[in-house]
Amino acid sequence: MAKYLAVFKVGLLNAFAYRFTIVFFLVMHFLALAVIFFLWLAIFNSPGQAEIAGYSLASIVTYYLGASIVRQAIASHFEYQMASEILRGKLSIYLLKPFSYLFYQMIRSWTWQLLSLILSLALYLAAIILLRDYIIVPSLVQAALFLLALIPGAIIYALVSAIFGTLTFWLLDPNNLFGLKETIIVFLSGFLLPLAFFPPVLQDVFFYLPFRYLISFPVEIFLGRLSGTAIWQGFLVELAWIPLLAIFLSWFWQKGVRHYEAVGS
Amino acid sequence: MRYLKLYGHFVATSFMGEMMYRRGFWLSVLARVAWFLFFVAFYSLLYGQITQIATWGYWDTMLLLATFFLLETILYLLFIKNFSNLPHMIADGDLDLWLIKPVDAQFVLSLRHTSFTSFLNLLPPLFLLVLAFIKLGLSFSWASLGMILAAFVIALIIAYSIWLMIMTLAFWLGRVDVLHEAFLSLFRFLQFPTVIYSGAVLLFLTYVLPIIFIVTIPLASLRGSLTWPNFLLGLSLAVLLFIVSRLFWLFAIRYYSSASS
Repeated sequence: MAKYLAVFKVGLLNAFAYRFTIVFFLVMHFLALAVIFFLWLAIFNSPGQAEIAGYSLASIVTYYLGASIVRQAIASHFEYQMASEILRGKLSIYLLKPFSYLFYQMIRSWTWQLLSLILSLALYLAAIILLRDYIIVPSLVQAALFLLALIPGAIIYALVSAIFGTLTFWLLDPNNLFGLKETIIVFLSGFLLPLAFFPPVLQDVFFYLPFRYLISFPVEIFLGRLSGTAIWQGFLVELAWIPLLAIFLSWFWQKGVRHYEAVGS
Repeated sequence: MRYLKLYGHFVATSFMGEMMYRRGFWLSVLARVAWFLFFVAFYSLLYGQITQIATWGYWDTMLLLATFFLLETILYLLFIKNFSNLPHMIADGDLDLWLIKPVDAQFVLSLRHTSFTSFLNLLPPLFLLVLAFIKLGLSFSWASLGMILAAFVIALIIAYSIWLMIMTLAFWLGRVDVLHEAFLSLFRFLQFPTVIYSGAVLLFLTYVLPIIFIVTIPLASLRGSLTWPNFLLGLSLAVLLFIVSRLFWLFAIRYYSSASS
């Protein structure tokens, strides 16, 4: 445990060294969020438009703000770091050390995510105050379940990142693939558009896929859009994905390491 | 003429460079096409529940989306590799190599690398553009095609000039790896119907950082509503921005004192 605490500390220092990059990304993140708000304000401004696909203007504003916070909290992108370390042969250094490389990457990433979330808290607070007329406040139980749902979400996200990072063992230029993965997640998780806008058949399929549990599930709990049954069944599916992905990852990673050539070292 | 020949060489070497990673090539095409299709799906699902965004119907928005993606792909094709590399070149002092060569540094640093991977990505938005054009019942003539092409060139000059100005800030900001994304994230304001912007935001996008014209001028030309006075106004804006960005660049070069040499 102590050694991973050390990784956490290093990660914190590292993230702090890149504080300008973090602030830069935060500003871009908020610009993208602002555009989405303008879009929905214009849509709801049309006469007779009180509710769309079960969403009022207030619930849609809360949805996107929530989705933005959730993504900031749980999205990990350490596959890029993995790719660079595998392609440059730097991975060898880590393989010799007495800890799990994948675990190391995850903890580093979670440290970074935590820091950027804390840094953005002031901005989110400002956004909430600015949009206070449109924010839906959940009950305590909903808020607690929302927070609880973030933990498996973050783990699933990290496992997927690690699986894609592992693909680097066979690919020379995996960055496009990482971009594709992110695009798919953004669309199928309900980040770009609430899943209620999708055809019912697809919504049924999404229930069993992991994407929904990254963004849509926690935010819909927060908004009180899910019944008690839908929540516990959702948690069940979400929790089932973790061992599934973890087992696949460990098999895939071992296969990759055996394939690894340690270029240039 | 000399610059045209030089550009031919740039294009040829970029092409050879990209052919080395063919698997990466297809993945990159796939990633971009997926992103485009998801945005088409986004608006299709949205318009499944509503009829209009302010005054914009489904095909109005599709025409905008096609125009936006077409312009974005061309910008990627021509400039992305060059501009994303610029802060490194300034911070590491690699810029010196180009400053002492008998060619214009701005020309080389803007156009050295062409991203051929983007070439195929032009097709899906082009297809959507034609489809939306037909669905909206817009009239076509060869004369209007000339106007449309001119409008797209004006849009690209405006985009290039603003992007260059933002990138030139790297001379003072130092190593900012993600600086090229600053322009792109502002540019992405334009993949949404421009009618959603009002008040201070609209003023900002029109007068402070006039990026809104990058889509409004081509869209007006497609709809056949681009009058000659407006066309000339757009052209003047493009020329003016190009000159300002050029002057800013030259000013920055004079300020630049190289790194570690």
